[in-house]
Amino acid sequence: MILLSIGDEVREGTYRLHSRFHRAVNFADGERLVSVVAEDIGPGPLNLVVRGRPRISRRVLRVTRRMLAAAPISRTPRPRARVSLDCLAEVERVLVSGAHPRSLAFLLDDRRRASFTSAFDRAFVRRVSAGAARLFRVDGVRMLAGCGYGLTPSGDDFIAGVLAALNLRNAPRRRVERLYAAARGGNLLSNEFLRLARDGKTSGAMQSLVSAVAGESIPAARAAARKVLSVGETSGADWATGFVLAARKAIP
Amino acid sequence: MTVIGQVRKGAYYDSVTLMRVGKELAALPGVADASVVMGTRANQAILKTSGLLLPEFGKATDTDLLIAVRAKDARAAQAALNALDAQLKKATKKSAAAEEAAPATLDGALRLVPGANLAMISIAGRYAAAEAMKALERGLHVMLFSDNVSLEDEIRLKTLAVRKGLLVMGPDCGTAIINGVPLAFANVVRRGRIGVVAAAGTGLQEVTTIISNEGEGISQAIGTGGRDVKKDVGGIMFLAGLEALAADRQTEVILLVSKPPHPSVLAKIEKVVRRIRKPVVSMFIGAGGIPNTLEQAAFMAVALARGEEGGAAVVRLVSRDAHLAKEARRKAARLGKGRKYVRGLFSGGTFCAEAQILFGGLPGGLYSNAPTGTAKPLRSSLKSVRNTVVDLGEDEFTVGRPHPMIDYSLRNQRIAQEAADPETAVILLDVVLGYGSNGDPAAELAPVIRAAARKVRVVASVTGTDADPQNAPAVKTALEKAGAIVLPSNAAACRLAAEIVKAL
Repeated sequence: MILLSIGDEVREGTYRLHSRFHRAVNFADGERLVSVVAEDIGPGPLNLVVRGRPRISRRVLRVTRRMLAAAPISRTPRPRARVSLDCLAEVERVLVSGAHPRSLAFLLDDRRRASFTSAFDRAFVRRVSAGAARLFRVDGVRMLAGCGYGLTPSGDDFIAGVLAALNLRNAPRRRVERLYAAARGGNLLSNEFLRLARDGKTSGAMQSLVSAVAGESIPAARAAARKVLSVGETSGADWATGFVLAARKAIP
Repeated sequence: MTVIGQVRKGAYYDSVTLMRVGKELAALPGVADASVVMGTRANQAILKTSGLLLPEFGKATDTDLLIAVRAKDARAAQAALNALDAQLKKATKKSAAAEEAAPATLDGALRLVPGANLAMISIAGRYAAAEAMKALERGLHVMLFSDNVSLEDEIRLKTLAVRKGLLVMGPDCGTAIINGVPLAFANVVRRGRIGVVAAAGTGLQEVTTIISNEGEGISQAIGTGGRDVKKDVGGIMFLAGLEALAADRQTEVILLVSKPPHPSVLAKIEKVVRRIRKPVVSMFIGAGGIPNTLEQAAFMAVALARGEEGGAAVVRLVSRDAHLAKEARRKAARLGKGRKYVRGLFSGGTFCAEAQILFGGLPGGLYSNAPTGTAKPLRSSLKSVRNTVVDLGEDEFTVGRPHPMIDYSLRNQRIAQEAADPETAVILLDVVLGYGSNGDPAAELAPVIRAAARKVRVVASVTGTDADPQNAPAVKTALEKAGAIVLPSNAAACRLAAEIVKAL
């Protein structure tokens, strides 16, 4: 495999196989995560980007000093702290029209609730709605954390989006820390993504969206939003929904 | 009812796999509900609320998979659990296959998406009929985007389709909205209670977007291809679509759109309409009567869906048109001497046809490269004569080029050409948004409109909604900033353009 870049949060160490997907293979050392990802997923703080698909059969990955020195390091740029309301509105529009029907985009458009039909789904919608109504509060985050389907539950992706937005808006550090602490659970993947979001670090498509919302170009915001929708199955849409709601809500 | 479940340690699946498996399990005989979720505290709380929490889940961690099944009895519940592994394997294989493979045949595609019930076919015409036939034989509806399919093949396909209770939308069908999903060149519209059958693609786009923008919605919008309502095909699919909407519980009002059907086809349509209990609005472009524009037809359908009189909607539009006439006089006053004609440059053939109906009686006569009604044929499609409307989607403009709804370069050149003509008073444009259309129409049109608007009046209609990828209100604002006068329908834009010319 040809290593194209290494994220700036990747640390030297021995990591064991955590989970395997078609475009990403995750390794963990108990506390930290490293993801070997396909080129189309792109750089991120914890990503080792390889050419083609990550075809790894081994269960142990050693990240060495030599590896870290050899490949280009991808760093997360910090966009200037502003939110263009026009760009944000465009992102919301793309989400509402294009997000997976079972993502959290129903928080932006009530009509999407019709896709949630089972008993679990309906209870899930109620809980997430209640949590989102308390967006910047610890009790709200506790309602959302761990909620939903998937290896990184929808609620966790949503909270990561919220933290990313709070960082963009230069929210008080204490508030961000409190919300992050309330969101942490027993899921390493989620915890790592939340940690990065707390620190204002996001991957590839999400980073493009943050930059686009901090910029002036509505077409760029539209393109970035579409790219985020292709992240995971619902992860991108869930993250973006949290980001949009937190970016536009007044911080108490 | 019985609820049983399982905890699987360290089992990792993506969210859609878990949703899919849950849905498959819930569809098994005797199963009332099923959930397959990660064992987080929040999910356990949700399971408790939905009556699916089991005592053994209490020890589960965030990274464990919880499976809960509620069924009519223990046997049905156990059978669902027994099916779980196979379902997980199938669902994972589906995701993997979908990521990896681009199927090369219809059967290959069906292996990837075994639940598919519609095939969209867009290949060279000489192969399209055979593929459409395969799809029908496998029980799929067909949307046949391809043109150059023979008349005989079209009749054969549609006859078989009707026998099997399937739709063949096409050939040369570029627009449909089925179960809320825009297909090919179509817009994102609200779902609702108005069903449409259309043998005119941009006509379908115009009425569905107007209906959605007025706050109503579309149950289904079935395209048939333009040839369907001619004598030879006999309206096979138009009638099938009409019958389907008549039987559809979600549809309360039916709207029919096409150029005038052959009289024999019209008679069949009228016979079916007479026995349908739902209100039916028929818009046959150029046939006369009310409605006489796509816009009127859409507004009438909206009024009927709301239990109001269709005629009241027409009265409102007539009053609006009176305001347009006043505005036209103001716009005409400041035009240079000698400017006296309208030049309509259309990407949609239906809009070009509608414009010709509305421009009947313009001083100086009317010419077109796709004449209908009283319009005379242009000697050269590249050179306007007096009042001219051009369908830029006709073959002479599209051979070897993308359709003008996608690629604006040819139209932009023509806008500059017409603005430079000292006899041009008004340039009239249709801007059709939605999937398939140009991704950033405002950026491409604004510079050329700005330049043209220094000499002539530029009047444009925008067909779309705020949910379309291009965002209709944003496009409208950008075009107005560039100097265009933007109207929400082709009919309104044509009326304004005509009134400006008459006021000169």
